[in-house]
Amino acid sequence: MIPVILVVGTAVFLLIYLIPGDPAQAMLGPHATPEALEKLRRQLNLDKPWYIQYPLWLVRVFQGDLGISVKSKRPVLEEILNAFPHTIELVFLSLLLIAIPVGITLGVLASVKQHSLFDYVSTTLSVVGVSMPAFWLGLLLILLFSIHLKWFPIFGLLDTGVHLKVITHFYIIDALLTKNFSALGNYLFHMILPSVVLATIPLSYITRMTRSSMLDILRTEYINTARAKGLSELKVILKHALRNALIPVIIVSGTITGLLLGGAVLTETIFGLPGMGRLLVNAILERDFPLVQGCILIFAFSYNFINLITDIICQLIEPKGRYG
Amino acid sequence: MLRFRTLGLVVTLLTILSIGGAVGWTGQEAPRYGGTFVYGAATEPDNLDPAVVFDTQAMRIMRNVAENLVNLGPDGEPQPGLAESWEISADGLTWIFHLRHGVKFHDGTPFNAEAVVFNFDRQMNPDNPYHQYGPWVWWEWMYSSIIKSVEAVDEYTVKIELKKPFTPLLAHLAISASGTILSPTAIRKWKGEIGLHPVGTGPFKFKEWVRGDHITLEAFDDYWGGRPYVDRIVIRFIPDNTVRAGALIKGEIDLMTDFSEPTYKTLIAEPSVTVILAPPLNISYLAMNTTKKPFDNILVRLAIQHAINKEELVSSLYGELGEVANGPIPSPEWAWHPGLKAYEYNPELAKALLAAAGYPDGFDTELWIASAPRGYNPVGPLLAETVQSYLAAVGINAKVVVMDYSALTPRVMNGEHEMTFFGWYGDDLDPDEFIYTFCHSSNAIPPANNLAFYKNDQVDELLDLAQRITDIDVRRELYLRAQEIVNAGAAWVWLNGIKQPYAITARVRNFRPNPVPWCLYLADIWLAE
Repeated sequence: MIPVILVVGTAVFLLIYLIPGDPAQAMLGPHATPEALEKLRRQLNLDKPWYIQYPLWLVRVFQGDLGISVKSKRPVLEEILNAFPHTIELVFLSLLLIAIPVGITLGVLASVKQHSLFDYVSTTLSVVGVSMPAFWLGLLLILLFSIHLKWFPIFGLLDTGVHLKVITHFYIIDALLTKNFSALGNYLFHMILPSVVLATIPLSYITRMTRSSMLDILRTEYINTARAKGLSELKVILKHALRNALIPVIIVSGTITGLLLGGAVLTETIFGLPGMGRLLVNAILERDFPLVQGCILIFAFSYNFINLITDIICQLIEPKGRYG
Repeated sequence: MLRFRTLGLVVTLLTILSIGGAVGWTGQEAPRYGGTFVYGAATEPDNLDPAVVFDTQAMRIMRNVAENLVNLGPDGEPQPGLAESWEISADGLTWIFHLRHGVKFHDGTPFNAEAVVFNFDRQMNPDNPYHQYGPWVWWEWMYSSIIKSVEAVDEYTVKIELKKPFTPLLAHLAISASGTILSPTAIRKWKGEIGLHPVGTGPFKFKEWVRGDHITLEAFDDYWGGRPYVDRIVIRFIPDNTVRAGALIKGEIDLMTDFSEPTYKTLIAEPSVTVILAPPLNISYLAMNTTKKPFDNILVRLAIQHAINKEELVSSLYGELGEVANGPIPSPEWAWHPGLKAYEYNPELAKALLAAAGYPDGFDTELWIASAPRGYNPVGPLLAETVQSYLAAVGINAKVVVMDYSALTPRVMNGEHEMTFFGWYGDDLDPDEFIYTFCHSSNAIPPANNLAFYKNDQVDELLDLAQRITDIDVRRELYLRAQEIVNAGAAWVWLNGIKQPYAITARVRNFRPNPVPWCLYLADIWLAE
């Protein structure tokens, strides 16, 4: 994991030189005076040669200092710690509550009822789901469910006027810590549409992955043996087939989680959620290089971390025979 | 007989009055106190210290929280704020401000001359312990070349000495920028983080800022101008235009602005929403670099003026939100010149002019433009392509070169372009900010804002004089004259301004948009039941 982080870190560091134009000018805009530009260059060490800047930057990063955001003047790490929990919660709700359970269920059913109407319908829906742009689906759902039917709120984490004491920035945890159940309910209500939107693509992938994985397993000698031993079909499917079939699904889910953490930006922008995807995009648009570098580093780190967890989970549920 | 008549009259009168009373006179509604007003903002400010950011959203919010010596009034002109009155010396170099008595900051600190001096000193004086928390972007750009010193004469009198006479300073002091006065106690307490906890003297107090989600302001009961009507203002951040419009239609927010033509069309069709357009305090233009051939030739410049059909361009690209510009000073300003002679669209004349200039077959050139849409040009590079086709029709082969705004800006300020699109937003109604920036020869030296690199001694003299004179009618005459000369020089095609759209829900009362777009003053609005 460390080598990967270093490579990403180097690329991120070099980022600032690849953008056309002067970084300081880009950050301060056309009204900037020469003095202000010089001051910013000194602050960001841009006036030093790159072989001095790079080790300085590395040392700071390993100490946990990701610099100061040029626009807001707050520490980059603080900005990230305020935003990342929201993205994590959104991904958690989308994946763990929707995409994975529903996807696996649909995939198992499709594999068991192969070539049935159910199978064809769910396959078609999967293809549609994967192809649909998130922002388009989001706007469509908002138009239908929020504006026409008025079932759901349109944007944000909470209604205006609902107050929640923020401690960890994980709203679910904070609501539980402060026993603010009405705020928790309001928050979950707000998160229904965004979670559905974000879950669409992973759901489709997981359904198809589960289905094809199950189909492979169900044809093996191992399963035939289990059936011959007289085990009930349900037990065959769930205890034996699924357990093996899940391994590729978990690997894919791990990759998807990593991608979602960064890819939630469209959903966050549409629904006005203060997550890290939105933070990164705004930082890029405003040329806030320290914040951009910090966000990318954290994304790379968490992507690797999730892959690590995925590997561990696979090791744990690995059955007696090695799959593959 | 008479008695019956009188009785009949009295009965009739009483009947009318009682019916009227039962129905209720629907005359003027009385303003109602209370309620929470929600403004749906497209972007989140980075920092609420007015002196350190060029950020319209921050300025809109801070106009309600903190004040200046002179405040921007509802007509976009400076009016007494924390100063009740002021005098300017005959030579224009000494400005005396008489401060309002009995004003307190939201944290209880009394407002006085020391507070004013403290706020300016942290920006001006490198030895001030709070100077390190810059950059003082406004001070360095707009005020440092004008203001020499700010002193307290006594507890309620402030003296500002200028480096040169500069009448536009009064308007500039009303901007939520360097001249905004924050509580010295709060600055001492929060230091570099004052922008996260601003404390002023305005009608609303800063309450909380949940990053990425909202900012809350609360009514300040002891405001010297009287308590505002609404109890609370919540500014919620909703980046997507469509979602913001949906939230307005549904009533989850009360006000939105900064939206484009498609959203405008949706909103005017909604019965529950009122859309108001403020006239454009911005300008989009095409500058011809007169230091490069063939743009040093007046005939070529005139040809280009006649080649572009501005009315058609503005209405097709910007619809109802666009307004054709006729000169460097936009329509909301008091020195706007409605009588400026326009260059009529005449491609045949354009070709004849080019032939006379020695280019009967036209010539090759480049049109530079920023890649992203700007407020004064919401369609981005499409503008360049449109102009390209007009020029092609008269034989000018213009290549469109699209660049990132941060790459374009230093290059055009350095004069590397032949023709470039650019624009400007105004911060107050003083014409100096527009015409001096674009047309004075002192701004034709890199880093230039005079992107035509146009130099005319007469124009310089008129603009310099207009800066020194205080009589507004005389100043207007000078600016009108200057615009006529600039127009005759034909070095810019002044394309358009984009009107600032505001949309409000049915329960909002007494909302009048300010001609200056950063000024969103909410103390006068109230909410009906």
